[in-house]
Parts: sequence; C-alpha cells; structure tokens
Amino acid sequence: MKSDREKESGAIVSQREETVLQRLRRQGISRRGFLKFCTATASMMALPPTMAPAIAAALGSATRPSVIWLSFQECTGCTESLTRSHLPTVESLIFDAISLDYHHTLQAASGEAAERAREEAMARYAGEYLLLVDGSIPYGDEGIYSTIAGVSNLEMLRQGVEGAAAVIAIGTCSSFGGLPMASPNPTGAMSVNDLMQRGAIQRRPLINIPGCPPIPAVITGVIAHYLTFGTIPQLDALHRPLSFYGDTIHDRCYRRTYYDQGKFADTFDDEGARLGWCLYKLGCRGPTTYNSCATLKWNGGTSFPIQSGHGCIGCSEPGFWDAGSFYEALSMPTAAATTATRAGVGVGVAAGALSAWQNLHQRNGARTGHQEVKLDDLERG
Amino acid sequence: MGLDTIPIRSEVMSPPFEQQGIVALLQEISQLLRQLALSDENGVIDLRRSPLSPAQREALLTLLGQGEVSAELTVMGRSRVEETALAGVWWVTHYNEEGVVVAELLEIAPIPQILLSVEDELGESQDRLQQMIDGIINGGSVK
Repeated sequence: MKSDREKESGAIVSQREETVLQRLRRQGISRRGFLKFCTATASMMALPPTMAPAIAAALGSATRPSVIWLSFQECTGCTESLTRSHLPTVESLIFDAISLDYHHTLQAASGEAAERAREEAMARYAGEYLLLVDGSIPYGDEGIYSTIAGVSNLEMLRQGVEGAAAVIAIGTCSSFGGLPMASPNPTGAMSVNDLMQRGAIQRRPLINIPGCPPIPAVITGVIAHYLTFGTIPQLDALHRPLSFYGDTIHDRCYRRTYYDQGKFADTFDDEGARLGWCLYKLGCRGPTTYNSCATLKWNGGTSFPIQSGHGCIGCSEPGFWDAGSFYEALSMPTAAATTATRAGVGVGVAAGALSAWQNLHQRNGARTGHQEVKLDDLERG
Repeated sequence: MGLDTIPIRSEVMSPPFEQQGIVALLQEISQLLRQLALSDENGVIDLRRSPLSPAQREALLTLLGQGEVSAELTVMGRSRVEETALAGVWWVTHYNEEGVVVAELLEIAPIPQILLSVEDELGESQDRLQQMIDGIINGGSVK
C-alpha cells in the first residue's frame, strides 16, 4: 500500500517536471495547435497578439506549479463560473498545465483523504505553490462561523498562506468581503487583504480577481500569466490586474457614444431602451466599475448585461451590496443627465466624474457602516 | 400570440458616432500595412479586445469584403483564415473543439503565421520520409 503511494507520488513529480509544450506535444498537439493555443491565451490575458511568440517561448519551458484552492464563505458561483469553460477548451488546457492538488468541489477525494492531499501538497511544495481562495473569511468570535473538517477557515487560510509563493483571491468575497460582509456582517467577514493588513495571516504577494462571479477567462488568464511569466501581473491600488481591471465598463461600453450624446433610456421599455441607448439613468454602475465584461463578455463571448438591456450592478467593486439600489442612477440623475442631454459631450463626462466621486463616497459610508456582530448580540436578538 | 406581436426591434445606430470605432480600426489596419511594406513586419489586431457592437462587427466584415483565398484548418478545433478584399489583410477566426470562438484576429501579413510550415517541421518531414523509404526497402511494405 505504502509503496503504491510512493510510486504514485513519484509519477506526480515526473509529470510536473514535464514542460507545458512537452505535455501538449505528448497529447498530439502540433506546432500550429500550440500557436493557436498561445494566440488564444494572449487574447485571454488581454496582451497584444504580437506577444503570442513570447508566450510560446515561456510556456515551452514552464513546468506545472502546484495549486491549492481553498473555499470559505462562498456560494460556489466562482467555481461554477470557472467550470463554464467546458472541456476541452483553451482554458481547460491551461488547467492541464497546472497541478490542481486541492479543490474541495472539483476533487474526487473526500473526507480525510482530501484534507491529506492538501496537507501533502503544502508540505511537498512549501514556498512554491499557488494559493487560490474564494469566499470571505469570518473573523468574528475567532472564526467559529465556518469550519472545514473541524478547522476554522481563518486557521486553514493562515496555514495555507504560510507556504504560498503567491495568493490569488478569486471573486468579490475573498477580494473585498462581498455579500457575507454586507451590513450588518454577522460573521465579521473579511477579505484576504483585510486579514493581511491586520496581521492575522502572513503577507504574501496578492492578486485580487473580484466579480460576483469573475469572468472565467479572467480567472484562467491571470493564472496563465503567472504560469507563463512566473511573475505577478501589474496591479492597481486594490491589487487588481490592470490588464483586466484597467478600464471601467463605461470606458469600453459600445453604448458609450450614446452617453456622450446624452441619449438615455428612462425606463426599461421606452423608445430609448429599444434603440439601445445608454442605461446610466436606470442605475448602470458602468462608470464606477472596473472590469472586462464589455470586451471579454460572458458565456463564451456571447453577451454581457448591458448588451442584454440591463445596467451593470458593479459586482466587482468593494461594498457593492451596500452601495444603494441597483436601479437608482449613480449621481443626482435628473439635473445632471438632463443638462447632459442639452449640452452634450462635455457635461456628460462631468456628470460621470461627479457620479464616480459620489459613488465612492457612498461606498466609503457603507464600509464604515459595517459593524462586527458578536454572538452575544445575536442572542440578544 | 406569435413573436411578431412583441414590440421589440433590433438596434439602430446613428451613423456618425456608430462609425467612429470602425474608422479607427481601418486607420490601424492602414498603419500596419504601411509597416509591413516598409519593414516586412507582420501586424495583428485582436478583434475581441476592440469594443465593437455586433452591428459594427458585421459592418466591418462587409467593408473589408471577401478576397480570393480562404483556408480551413483542423487543429484543436476548427480555424478559418480568409483573405479580405484587401490583399495582405486576413480575417482569422479560431474555434475550440465545441465550435466556440477563442480568438478572432485581423492579421496583416503576406500569409498568416498559422499557415506557414517552419524549418523544424521540414526536418521532421524528411526524417519521416526516410523512415518510409527504409521501411519499404527492409520490410517490403509501408507501416
């Protein structure tokens, strides 16, 4: 039995040392296939297509890193999103290119065997593995509100972060606290970054991939970037990769021209809505939301909310759940938008800037409004 | 009640604003063609990163038109290479095994990269031919 397991782990190690190119070749993928794979990867990573040869060169020598995925206070929507890239796709090839050693929804093992796989991977690849986290972490009352195999989420994350080369927070919950952190935040939910800032877990290079859920290609794109270049992509102040979160939805929206012209839909069934005009007055959060929905789109590039006639709800921004109704325009809508209709471009832009400021103010208010609730408070009802 | 009774119409865009994105893309193609002529350097535009509405995409397809050459590749799913009416401007679409578009590019080159055979492969072909010849001489039949 023991020797079988040793043999098994030996096989795992030699498979890992194989480069991505060798692995693809072994699967009968030709040079053209590899070039196509790299072209699609460049497109997915939001890199200029001329980078494809550089990706081919980097992937040709990259080995498969160990990846441990921990899920905490979450709805499994992030994993659902990821698996929407059905086998075999370019995304799944990338997953063939990493070694996913623990993911409690996707792995075949369960119970003690599953936890043992996690511990073994953590010990064998200490300091090298990539830690992926979805879900927020309950910090109130020493994290008793969520446990896996009798271990609190907080403790499991603390152990996981210790030996990680880098941490990727997937989804709004692990990036910013998300829905579990919404007021009154009964579990004292926190993001990975909050815990690092507090010193509750060790600091490691951190990438946030917010979104409720994030776009599948963004999750795989960031992992592919790490795999290809062995580095963390360029990030903004909120630890988001600039390649995917560098522009607002509004900046890249195909309806943007209507905003500039001051042409808005006032209700979901008026003439403006039918003509595909800007949804700003119907509460679209596009101007204050940094994400790639307008270009990468959803469901294999089919569409995104605005293209389907509904405004963006800003699900990838901090505190989005507490930032007021999804159907109220961002700023003082009537005055600003009416003026924009008359005065056109300049004012439209000014209204956008004003609303960006106002929304930020609203979000900060929402954040300070959060209060930690202790068990006693709940019992007092 | 049929679908025609529901008052939904397809989007109509007003021309001047609508065509701004397309004009920018055409200018980029023109600049890449100039670069190709001057320095033999191929150019690529990632269409999926350009904020084009479905209507704009269709308009661009119509504008660029159909050239004389088209090629279909079967490599990890289908890929389609089509010359536009402009020589040196190719519309390249890569699909995965399920027929979903994974990359859509405009390639500005004498011939798109993916169609070329490279040196490594020529060497491999020679080796394989030699094996065939050896096989026939030694065993009397081709494997």
